[in-house]
Amino acid sequence: MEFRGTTQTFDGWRIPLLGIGFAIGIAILGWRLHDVQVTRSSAFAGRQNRQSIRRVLLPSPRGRIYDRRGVCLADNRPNPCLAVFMEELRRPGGWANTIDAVEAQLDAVAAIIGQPRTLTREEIATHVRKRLPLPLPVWQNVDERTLARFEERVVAAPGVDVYVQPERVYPQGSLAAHVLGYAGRERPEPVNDERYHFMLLGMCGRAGIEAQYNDALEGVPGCRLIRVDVSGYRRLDLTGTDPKPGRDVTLTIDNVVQRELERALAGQVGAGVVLDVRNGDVLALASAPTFDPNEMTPAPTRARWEAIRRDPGDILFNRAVQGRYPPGSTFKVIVGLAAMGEGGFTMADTYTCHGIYDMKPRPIRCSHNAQHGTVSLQQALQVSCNGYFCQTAAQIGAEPIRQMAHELGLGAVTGIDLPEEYAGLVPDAERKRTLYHDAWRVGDTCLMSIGQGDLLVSPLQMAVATATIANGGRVLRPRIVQSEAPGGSVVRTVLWRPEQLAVIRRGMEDAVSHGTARHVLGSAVTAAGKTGTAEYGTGVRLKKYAWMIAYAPADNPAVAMAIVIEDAADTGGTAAGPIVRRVLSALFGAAETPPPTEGRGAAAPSADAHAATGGQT
Amino acid sequence: MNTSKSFGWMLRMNMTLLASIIGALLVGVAFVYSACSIREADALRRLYLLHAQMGVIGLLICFGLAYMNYQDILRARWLFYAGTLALLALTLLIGDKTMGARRWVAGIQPSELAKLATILVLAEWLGRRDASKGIGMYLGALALTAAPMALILMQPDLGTTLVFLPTVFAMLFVARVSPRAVLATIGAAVLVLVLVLGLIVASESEDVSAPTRARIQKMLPLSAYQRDRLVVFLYPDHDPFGRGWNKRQSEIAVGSGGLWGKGYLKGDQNLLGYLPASVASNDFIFSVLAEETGFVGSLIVLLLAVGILLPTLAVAYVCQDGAGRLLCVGVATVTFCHLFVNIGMTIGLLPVTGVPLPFISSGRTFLLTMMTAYGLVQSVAVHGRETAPRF
Repeated sequence: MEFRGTTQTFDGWRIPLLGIGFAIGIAILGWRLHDVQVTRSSAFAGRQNRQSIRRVLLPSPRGRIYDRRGVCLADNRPNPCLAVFMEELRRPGGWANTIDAVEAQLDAVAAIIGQPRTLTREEIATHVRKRLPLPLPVWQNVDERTLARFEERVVAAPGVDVYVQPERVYPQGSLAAHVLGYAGRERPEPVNDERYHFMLLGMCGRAGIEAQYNDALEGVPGCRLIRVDVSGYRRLDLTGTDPKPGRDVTLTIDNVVQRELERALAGQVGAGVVLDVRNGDVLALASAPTFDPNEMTPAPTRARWEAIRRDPGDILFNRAVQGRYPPGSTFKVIVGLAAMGEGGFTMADTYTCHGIYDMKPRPIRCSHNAQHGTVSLQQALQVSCNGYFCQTAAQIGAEPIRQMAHELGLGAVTGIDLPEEYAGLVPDAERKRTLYHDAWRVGDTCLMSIGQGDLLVSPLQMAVATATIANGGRVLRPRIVQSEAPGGSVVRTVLWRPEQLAVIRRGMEDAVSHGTARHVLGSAVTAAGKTGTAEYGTGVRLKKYAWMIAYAPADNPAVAMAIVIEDAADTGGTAAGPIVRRVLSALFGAAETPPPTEGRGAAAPSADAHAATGGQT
Repeated sequence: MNTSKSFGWMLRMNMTLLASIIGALLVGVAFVYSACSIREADALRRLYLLHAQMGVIGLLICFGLAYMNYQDILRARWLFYAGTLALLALTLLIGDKTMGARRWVAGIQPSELAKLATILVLAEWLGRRDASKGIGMYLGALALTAAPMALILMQPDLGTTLVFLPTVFAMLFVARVSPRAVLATIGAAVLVLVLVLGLIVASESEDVSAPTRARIQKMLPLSAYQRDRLVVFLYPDHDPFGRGWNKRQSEIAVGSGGLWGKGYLKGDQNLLGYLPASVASNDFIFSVLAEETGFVGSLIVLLLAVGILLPTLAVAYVCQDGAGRLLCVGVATVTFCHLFVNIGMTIGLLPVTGVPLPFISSGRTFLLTMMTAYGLVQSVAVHGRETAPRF
């Protein structure tokens, strides 16, 4: 106090005011520090984790696919790549600096290994923008000498490293291509998903079993949490789980049968399915024309895609499962079953064929204008007499036929484990009314009875129906992947009188032994079958679908099959019969003495044939 | 008693101030060590030893100056001032060029010395007992400040240049020199600041066409990197990997420290190199400290700051001599400016500038300058009350 008055340059309040100013400043800092370090701390900690913690997704080894004999159909092989890790080349400033650095580094590596780089600046820019934390493979399938040359000089190339990409390979080439489908390189997830900062890409099924069983084949990807420094280098592993390898899948396919079926179909357009009638195992399933899945993985080249797109054969389309065909005369076995069942027909009900059945608007002719004479159901099946079935269908009506078709699994998916199965179509009056504004007429029933009209089936469905006839009424869910259940998975059991089924089966046996299906003869086994020739298209050239359904051995059935050939030059027997024979030979061996190619029952079946049949039974 | 007589001056030193400075020095040594612990070069890893050595030397200087009478030292002010200006000029001519600026000459930063030299000259100029306190004195003070400011601005170093302004105005305020002129100048300065910021906003705006933006950028009285720093401050998200990097990483460091911090030597931002190593031990040492010790550590630093600033003002308050009082006010204001600007920039309150944290940031020249300055403050504490004014 004593000095206050002693100096004139002194104002008592000025220094305290300055002190208050300082205090306010420090209080502001304190308040802001509290805000940053306490209130918003977790947000900043999150930002730190986002920029320094990487979740590396490690793909699990994809499961292999085997056939029932243990032959590997889909395998993995390592594809050594030289990949660029762009984060390590990050430069301060705009992204252009980083892209410059990447380009310079790639040119340097190109000089080291003596291979030009194919990556354009745009591709690098896209990768930087969208998938910065992921390695970008630049040189694929690098051979060992190049790798050695690279490793010698690896110090000179930060940001570029060897990176082994798993790749799918199909050792059997195009065998069972439509069953297997193919796996492609997984598409990188957008990085905005915080859970995956850094994903090493695995494979992903795109079609067939590869797609259907992707979850099992894929396994569980492992992950590593790592903290990286500002240059992207790993500093410490935080935690992680190892990838769980994918499960192997064993198919019911038999590569020998499959190969024979594919060879028999080669050069034609069509499909075939071979089933084990006891349990529904798919022994072979083929669609022609086919493709080599090796060309589809990890991704088809642009030129390949163009070729596939332009191919009129639609090679990726699995006709056996997705194809939609009128069943033609093969449907007559179902009409026969309906007639013998609800229709109350017996063997005594006959029809006298004059080669033409008068029907409006257009009469139905028998094949080759043959006059079959008086035929019973069994004979009608043997010779595929259109008149008999039109007459019968007109008598019993459409409903019992539809019912039998549905019971045998037509008009609904079979439930096979393959994608995009076609459900088929069994037309009814309701549908005709809404679609054509017309009532269901006797003519429609007649057309349906010979497997034409709007009736549509897939070859697989016909195979299942045939297997049901062969095994005595058990409708099986066709299975393509092996399972423990010995009897297969029974969808439903159709109750037939023994006589009802026996007539149909005898008719089918006769069709093979001396009827329309005799082209099947030649294997070491007695088969039963039914041909079909469905006409389609209009105009000058009427095209034909050639069908054959068959089972064997006739007395104790083990396998059933359905074959269809599009745009066949000839009838079902001639076009599809030899295919059935080749498959049966593959399954049971060839006959010791080759059958006469022409002769027995080649001409129009006569009363002799009838008598002969009668004699046999 | 003889002993008490010969060491009595020591007891009259401000003990709170001395303890806070020693505390701040220890914090500095600890966190320079932490910030440099991951550096590869031995010389850089041992930066904390240099800091400790400089701290000890500084304390010796501090005691020596406290023993001497500051008024004797003030007689050499013109020599000091002229020498500093000469060094600044030399820096512009032959200084070491780093990142587009010349700030060092012969291992020292003359701009730090210039702060103290200017305070000494102004303290005497404004604190004379017979001072007129008129407009002439005001203009004289401005001229004395403008000379070193101009030389430093040419380096260029905007942050250090701007520290001069609050310092000189705080001294003018305490010295009661023509209040109207002071207010008018402050008003003008605020106007200029608003104008510059307005132009920057316009030059970064999407609504303005590109050629116009280029023209506005040319109009700005700032170099490209100064403009960048202001742009980063205003728009931190425009370029997180380029211009905004340090600001963003520093905020993450401070914020992720939380309440208690991650532990000494465990600051991830520094360890993983997100906080650039070149600035972690000096301009951004507070980020390292705040990440490792959390809000609690930050508060301790603020407490040390209070322990330095308030005793210095108390020394000024009780000093009977105008020059001594203004000397303390000048030193306190410089200290406060550094503290506020430095911590403010690490938490996104202010744009990034190269202004170090007193006693804690590594940096020889600045540390020794501050120690000298506080030696003079202690001298004012020891001699300011007993000594009769000499004029």
